Amino acid sequence: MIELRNINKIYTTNNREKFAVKDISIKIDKGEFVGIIGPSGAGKSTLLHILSCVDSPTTGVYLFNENIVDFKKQKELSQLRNSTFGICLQNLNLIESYTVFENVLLPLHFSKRKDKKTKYEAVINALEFSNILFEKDSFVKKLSSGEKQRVGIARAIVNNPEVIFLDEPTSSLDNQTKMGILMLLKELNEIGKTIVVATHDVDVINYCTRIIKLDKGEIIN
Amino acid sequence: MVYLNLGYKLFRRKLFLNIVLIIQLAVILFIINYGLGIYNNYVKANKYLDNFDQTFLYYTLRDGYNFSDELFGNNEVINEPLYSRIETGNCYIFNYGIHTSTYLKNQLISGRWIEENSQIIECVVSSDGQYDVGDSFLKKIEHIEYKFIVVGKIKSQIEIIDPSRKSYEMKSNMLFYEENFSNRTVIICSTNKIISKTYGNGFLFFDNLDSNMIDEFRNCAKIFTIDDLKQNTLNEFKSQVTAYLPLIICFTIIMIISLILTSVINVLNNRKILEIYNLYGLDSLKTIKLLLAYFLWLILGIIITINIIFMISLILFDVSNVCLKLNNVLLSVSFLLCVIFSSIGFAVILINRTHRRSI
Repeated sequence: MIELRNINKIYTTNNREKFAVKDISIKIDKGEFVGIIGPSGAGKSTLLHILSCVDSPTTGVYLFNENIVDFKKQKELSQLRNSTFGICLQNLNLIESYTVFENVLLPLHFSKRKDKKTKYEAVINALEFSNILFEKDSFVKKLSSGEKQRVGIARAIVNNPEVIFLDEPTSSLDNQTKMGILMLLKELNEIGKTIVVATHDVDVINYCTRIIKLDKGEIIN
Repeated sequence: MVYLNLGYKLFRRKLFLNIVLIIQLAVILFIINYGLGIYNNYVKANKYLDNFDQTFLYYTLRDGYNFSDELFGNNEVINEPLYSRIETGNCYIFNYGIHTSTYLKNQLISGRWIEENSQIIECVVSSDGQYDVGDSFLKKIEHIEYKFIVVGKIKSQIEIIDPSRKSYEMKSNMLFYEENFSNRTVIICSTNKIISKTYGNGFLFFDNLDSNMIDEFRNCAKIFTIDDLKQNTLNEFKSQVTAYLPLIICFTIIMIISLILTSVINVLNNRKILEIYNLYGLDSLKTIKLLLAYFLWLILGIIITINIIFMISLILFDVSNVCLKLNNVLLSVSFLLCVIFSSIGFAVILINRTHRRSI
């Protein structure tokens, strides 16, 4: 499904090059629950950003369904992020001044779905699945961290994506909320969604079917 | 519709800041249009003079002097002094010579323009008045009653010649101007039956005129040719521009700064949201659509604000100079397009380059 070949991401600061990820070659198959783990600064988030086409690699080849993804074509990348991938990054990127419903509706504004009723139903289903429907009309700023996380996940799944990318989905959550989120991810995986999670949380690792361990930007076997 | 809705959300999100932007842009636009309105008035006043197809002179008689027939020689000369503007209650009577009145380009709504007639006093009346075409009425002027017959109707915004305006540097915009007589009756007639006070100024119309004749006229009157009037108008405009030059320079600098600031504020104000939108599928084309929708709301706000400013200004001071002319519209639209496209361009570049770092 997703294949990375010799992916490098290099940042240049003060004329010095630094590898955020180095020579990464991985393959993620449909229906997998992949955990990307490693210490802070290992390159977990950078790799997740590249996988989810939020960021582009400096060198290397990205294949999706055996087709090369061209990172220069912004329109193609936007379509991938909108329809094929569900993304929930570490700071969630929720719009505080919008209601829960408006936040979850957001990806549907840019999708090919035009019917208002279908969009409404998709949002309601995503909210229901994420157990946050009761806060539908609340403003995001009034929600707790766990509730915001659920809204983030609802937004990631609203467009029925093939792959869901999550960056530290359980950080700063209490144990009970964390288990609720993990159950939610497990359910998504069970209905056939591919899940890729960047985490350093042991509880999340236990749910994963495969682990990719990173250190200093490189995969450790 | 989706983008209009999203554009409105962007607008509503930072409502106070957007209102400040709207007021700033509306005030700038109003000042630009006001300045341009003054220029338009100069151009318009000069254009009146183009109507005079005969050889024409405007004069102001020196005290105690008058034109003698000897002065005109064998030339056919029509001397039409300007009479005072007569006000009787809510009614204003302008009595011009027949030649002079012909050159006023007041558009007729109905009927015809006045013609010279020794039997009756023909007149045209303003549309807001009480009379219609074909009506006849009596009017008492300086204790004498005159009978008028209405032959035509014109709008209440009337082009007039002010008989009292005199200056050593007479300009066309002092002579010809527009006045709004709404809710009042204006009667324009051309007759020598009503002789009211003259100010010693008027027009001379010639079939043929040479420079020697003008020199002779100058002995008893201050003489202005069409070129003199145009030149004096231009000189006045130039002197005004020069006088306000520091202000114009300051204003231009402020305008450019505000234009840049508006663009930057617009982008920075909405940057985070646009980046989130971008993360969930907003590409460059959709960004442009979204920002255009946002600007539609901003422009709607500007249109409302500029109308409010105009209404307030009408009460406080004369803003009749601000006319809906082609150059006003073009300049206003150009200014707004500059703001819109610089903001959109800046936003699209910034978002495509930076969204990955800040989300």
